[in-house]
Amino acid sequence: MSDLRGMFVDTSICTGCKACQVACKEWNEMAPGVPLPMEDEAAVREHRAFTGNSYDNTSHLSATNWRHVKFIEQIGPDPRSSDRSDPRWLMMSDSCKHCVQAGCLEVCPTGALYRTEFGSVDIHQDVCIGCRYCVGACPFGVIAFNNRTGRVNKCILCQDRLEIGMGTACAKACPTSSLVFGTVSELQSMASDRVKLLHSRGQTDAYIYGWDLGNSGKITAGPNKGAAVKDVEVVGGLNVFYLLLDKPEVYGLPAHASLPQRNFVPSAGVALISAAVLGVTGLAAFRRRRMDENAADQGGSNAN
Amino acid sequence: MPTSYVLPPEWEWPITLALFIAGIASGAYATMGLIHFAGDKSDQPVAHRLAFIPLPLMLLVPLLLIVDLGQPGRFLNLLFRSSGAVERGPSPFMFNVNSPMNWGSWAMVFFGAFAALAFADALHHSGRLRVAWLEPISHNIVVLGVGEVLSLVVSGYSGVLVNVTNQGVWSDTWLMGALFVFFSELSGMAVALILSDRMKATRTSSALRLALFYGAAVSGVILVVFLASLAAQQDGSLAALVVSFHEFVAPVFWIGAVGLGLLVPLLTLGPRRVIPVPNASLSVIGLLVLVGVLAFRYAMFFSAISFVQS
Repeated sequence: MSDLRGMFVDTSICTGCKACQVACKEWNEMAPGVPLPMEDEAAVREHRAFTGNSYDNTSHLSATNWRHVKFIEQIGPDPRSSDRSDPRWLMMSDSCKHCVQAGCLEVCPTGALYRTEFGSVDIHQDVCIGCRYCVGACPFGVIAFNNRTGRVNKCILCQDRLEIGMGTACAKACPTSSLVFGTVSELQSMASDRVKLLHSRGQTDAYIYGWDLGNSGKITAGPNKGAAVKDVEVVGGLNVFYLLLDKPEVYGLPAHASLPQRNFVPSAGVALISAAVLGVTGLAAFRRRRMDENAADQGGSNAN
Repeated sequence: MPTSYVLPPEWEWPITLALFIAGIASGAYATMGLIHFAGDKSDQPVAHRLAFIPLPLMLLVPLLLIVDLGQPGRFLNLLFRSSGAVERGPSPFMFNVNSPMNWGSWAMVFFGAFAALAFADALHHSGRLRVAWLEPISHNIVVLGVGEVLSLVVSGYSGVLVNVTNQGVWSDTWLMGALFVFFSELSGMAVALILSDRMKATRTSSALRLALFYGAAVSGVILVVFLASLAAQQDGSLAALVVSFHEFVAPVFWIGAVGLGLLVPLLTLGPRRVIPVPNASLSVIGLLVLVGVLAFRYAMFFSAISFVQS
């Protein structure tokens, strides 16, 4: 357990500088991806155009954006009104969460997705066939299909750096220590201390998304002001986990993420029962024909 | 408004078509087995003709899947463990028990063998291949039974596969596998009805039209339960399927899957026909049902994309 590596993302000190995003692109040799004009409908659909509604133009994790700093721009107490007082920007550096129970890994039919010795989820690019099953299975919308290579991509927690004793490139580049790399148990302890410190200073909206460390609080600003929040543990825990200041949905994170396998046995069982019912209806059709023919014969004999 | 955190898998036409064709193949085999089990001597010519169908279709399916993947060599990674996938242990075979895609891949391989046996038997009965030992094997009740089970796995695995995701519509119920089984069998019965009509096998046609009617009736019930279970989710998945014009999902669902796939056989093939049609129209009805089953596959696959876009 102590060998598991992960990251703690403290959104309370993220400034949205995107240094982590740049470092990720640089280390993993991904194209910079200059936003295309909004008139290009295909580019808008594929999240490659200017967003037009945010200072953030990456907008989404993708096959060439393994890390993405989200800008959650809450202008005014009610985003629908013209009241622009009390604005708030929330920032969050998002990536693969390297789930303890990973839906993508569970459904992969080729063994391309695998669990590393550090507890992260990596991809054998030479084994992936590009079936995209993992894309629909990831509850966070992290893993994405790369049209250029015909395979899937996502953050691999800098596996190549970890193998030689280095930390992740994004954490190394973070100027505010919003991203911290380390062993998961140390990070949990650090996160718990950080939440307690923030609460003691009056910022009671801080809680942990990924592990239930027993924290709870109340949101102090924005449209959800006054709502209760508490630590959320999803899919057995996340090796990359977050300190959040508002509801998970505000950050584009599901409040109740679950493994796709929850449906496997019930779905297969119902399909099996249906097949049996269908067999019975087929047999009934042939029996009905025989009965109709017998009735017709009977009718004919009686008439004679 | 639905909130989707999941990206669509972008499965396109080749996948939809591949699974439609696999459904016809498995449905045709299951109907052939039904005729062997429940029919009499006068039904056998239709069963023998039906046995020609599964094998060529099952050969077409991997070709379409390879076209979609665009990587012919890597397709084998579904069945044989790639040397790179060291974490999967020493076995030369690839089988992830948690992945319905692996179950389906292996089911298709084994079903292919039974489809080949049925094809050889059909050749034998048509006089184009004379093998004395073939008939005792291909008509053996155990062999037919195992083939039937495999055909049903091929019919339903893709439904279970889409159930085992986190996509809206797909993962919101447990009924996808059941629906895929039903619609595959409907397509197999429709093909059998067309064949029996073309062969002027009136007795077989009368049994098959009843089988198709009963099948459509039970499918209709399951479809209603399916829609009710989507409505119970209250996450917008019902709307994404039944009112979304994105990718034409709603019209294809209502006109194709419900209208052609279910209402046409229900109204024209029952013991007391609501719309009386002459026997000569059986082939047309069979074709309409096939179009309806294709529409069902389309609506189901593209409903998830529609959910994400909405």
